[in-house]
Amino acid sequence: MVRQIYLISTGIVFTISIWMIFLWAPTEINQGQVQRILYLHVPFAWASMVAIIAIAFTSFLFLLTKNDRWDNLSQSLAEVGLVSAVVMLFSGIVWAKPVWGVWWTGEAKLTTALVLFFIYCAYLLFRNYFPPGNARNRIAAIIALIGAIDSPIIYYAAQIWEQNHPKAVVGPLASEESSLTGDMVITLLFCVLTVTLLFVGLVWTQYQTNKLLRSKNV
Amino acid sequence: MFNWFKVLSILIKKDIKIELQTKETLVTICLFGLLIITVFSLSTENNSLINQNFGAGILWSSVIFAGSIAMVKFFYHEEQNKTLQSLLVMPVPSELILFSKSIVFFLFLSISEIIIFLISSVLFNLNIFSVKLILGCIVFNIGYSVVGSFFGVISSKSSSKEILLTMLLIPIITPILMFIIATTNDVIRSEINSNFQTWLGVGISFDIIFLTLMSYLFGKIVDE
Repeated sequence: MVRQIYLISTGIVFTISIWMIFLWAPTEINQGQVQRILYLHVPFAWASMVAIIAIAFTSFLFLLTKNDRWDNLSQSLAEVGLVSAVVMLFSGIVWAKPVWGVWWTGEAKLTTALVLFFIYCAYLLFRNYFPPGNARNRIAAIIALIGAIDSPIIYYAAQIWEQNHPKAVVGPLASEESSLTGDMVITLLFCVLTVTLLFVGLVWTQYQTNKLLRSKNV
Repeated sequence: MFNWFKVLSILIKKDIKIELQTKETLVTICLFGLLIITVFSLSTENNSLINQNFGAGILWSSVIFAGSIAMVKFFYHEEQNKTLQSLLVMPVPSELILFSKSIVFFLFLSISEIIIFLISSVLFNLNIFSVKLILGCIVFNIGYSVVGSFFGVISSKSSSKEILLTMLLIPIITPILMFIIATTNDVIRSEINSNFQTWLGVGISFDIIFLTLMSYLFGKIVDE
């Protein structure tokens, strides 16, 4: 019941976000309408980055406590994290073509995002291919930890690579020459909140589904 | 400590002896790597056009894919004959098994790279032999061998070894892959003002972090 109320509330917040993105936020002068993709791209990028940290944390707790709930949570986070990474990559590609003139370039943030997507794939593929049991769950937790430790190294390595991705527009790393105005920043922050709520809701639902599947040994 | 070195040398000798009899790992890396390079060389009439832009990518994609296939072969016999289990019951730290596998694979990979690079330099008219690249290759091969051996043991239990090993290995080694591709690009383009030292720092840091991490985690993996 609590989950249903939570999901309905998230749905309402999501509807408000859509209204803000398309009707409330002003059109950006340089990029035009295509800039509105940013309001989905950035929050999903945030969700996919947070997910990998959360997976590492829950995997660590699983290794520590050997409680299956943490493993189930890691799996659910990875599944939703993968979806977030796909949305992030797809929205980024759609945005890049009109703004940069190319669908894809091999620079820092893009490369890191793509590798992050592959780390999620590797983690879930491992869970799928390895014989089920306690050994699989523990090795999966170790793989998640390795992936999380590797992510900042990948990001740093990718930073040394070429850079022409837009700088961060909000938060502590935001660049001062950001072209986002007040209303745009509010919309972006509201969308981050919405996607975070949606992310938690999806993980929650996926957790319950996996719990049911595990109890039936599927 | 002395006994551990003795055990390590015995384990290394064992793997080299097996390889000298079967020659599977070396032949797999060399032939598969050269096959990929040949396919690329067929794709253009003027090879000098691609060596500036894609030379490093072609070289290293051939090495890593051939390497990952050879890595599966490398652990296949251990799994098939259940010898890995026998090794694990030895009263020595399990990390020694990871080190021995990594050292042997490092040797095979280095020998294969020399052959692949020699033939590539002819096919693509590349001048790639330099101290910078040799240093880069050593750093890359250490990281690749350690991470590869670690995931090789994990994936040897799986039904889809090849795909699983490749999927686990390549995303994790991305930082050193970037490092070696950037270094090779510098050598091919003869660029002097490059940030080789920064890249070398990334490569060495990766090797140290993963050598420590994999040594620590290997014991936990084999316990399972």
